[in-house]
Amino acid sequence: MITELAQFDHPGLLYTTRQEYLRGTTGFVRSAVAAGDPVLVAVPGPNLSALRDALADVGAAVTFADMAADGRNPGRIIPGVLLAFAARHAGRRVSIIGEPIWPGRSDVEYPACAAHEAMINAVFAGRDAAILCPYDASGLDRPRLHDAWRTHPVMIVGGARRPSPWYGDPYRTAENFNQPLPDVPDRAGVWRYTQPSDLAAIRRFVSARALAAGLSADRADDLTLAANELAENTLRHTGSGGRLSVWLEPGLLVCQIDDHGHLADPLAGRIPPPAKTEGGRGLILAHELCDLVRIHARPDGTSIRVHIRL
Amino acid sequence: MDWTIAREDDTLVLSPEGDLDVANAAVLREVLQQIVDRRDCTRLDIDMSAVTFLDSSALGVLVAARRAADAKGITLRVREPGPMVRMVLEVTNLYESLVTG
Repeated sequence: MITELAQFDHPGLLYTTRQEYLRGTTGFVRSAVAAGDPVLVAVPGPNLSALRDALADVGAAVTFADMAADGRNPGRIIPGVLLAFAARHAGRRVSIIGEPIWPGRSDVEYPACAAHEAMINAVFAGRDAAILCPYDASGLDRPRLHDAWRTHPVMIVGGARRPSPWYGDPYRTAENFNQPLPDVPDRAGVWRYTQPSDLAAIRRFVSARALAAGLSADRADDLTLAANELAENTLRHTGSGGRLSVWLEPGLLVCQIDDHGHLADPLAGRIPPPAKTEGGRGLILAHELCDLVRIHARPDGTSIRVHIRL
Repeated sequence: MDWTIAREDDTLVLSPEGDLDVANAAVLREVLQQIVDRRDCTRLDIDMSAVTFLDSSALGVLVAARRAADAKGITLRVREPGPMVRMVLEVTNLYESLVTG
């Protein structure tokens, strides 16, 4: 009897036209459906509509998700989209189209997106899964397209698979995207904290700013909880306190935590703990609730910036 | 953290009030542990209707208490979560195991 080893396949698909996009993605979906695999298509809005139409005949066997919503925060994609789908089909090979990077991704969002692509390789190593990542080669700039070659072991170009000569160790690659954040603006409201009893004041401060910015009560709660968790991590993992800043940018409310800890693990906050495990949910909550979580980790300090869209 | 405890036949109902966070998670843990150790109920309900905030530390205490209660044959359930508490339970995928499970 031949035992097949679980194999993870993570190709990047470079496409320049809608036709090329559909050829590469629908072929992947149809062979997965024919093999009886659960299939998830998580791509941003316009591509999602096109794929739904093109796959109408097998649509009942496919789960569709709008990556621009579910994967708006790239740090949420591994726990909330990919692992969540795999967990719903435990014990089976899953086939997924995941398009986390599109031309509208901002310079602040992008390093988190690329780090996410690198970490997929570490999280899914040894798992029986295929994740195809389409990249818009006509809309994305050259550095971002080059990054796709660094985060995917195999690339599909003009319909042909090629091993990537630039693919490397996912942790080392992710470290390349561990980049400094833009400065906190002078206009930011700032609150310092040093002990657990300070957190109630942190929550009141963030909640007031969020409501004043016009967020709904629910979204204000989301940001307040996320900020509380990040500040709590400072107190749990560092010997000192931290500084929380809040400010408005066009279309966004931004909150940043700066402390003297070193968040060394790029997988932190990406792997949901089992239901019976007590700890390990703080950073995951921030990832789930915010529209972006950008982390800059240094040996002598960590900065975590979160966005909530207005 | 303020709380009340009421008995309804074989069920104890613990009703914490206000914000449950890392600053009072230790108190919550102790209260729950004492109830579970006493073993004089078959069911322990945690009524969350007066809880205004729940963080991951206090949530972790509930998860640990659920496990400890299971081991002593006590059915522990969280009930009547308000919108904020419900959101935390749902986002962490614990609603099912703690509320309906």
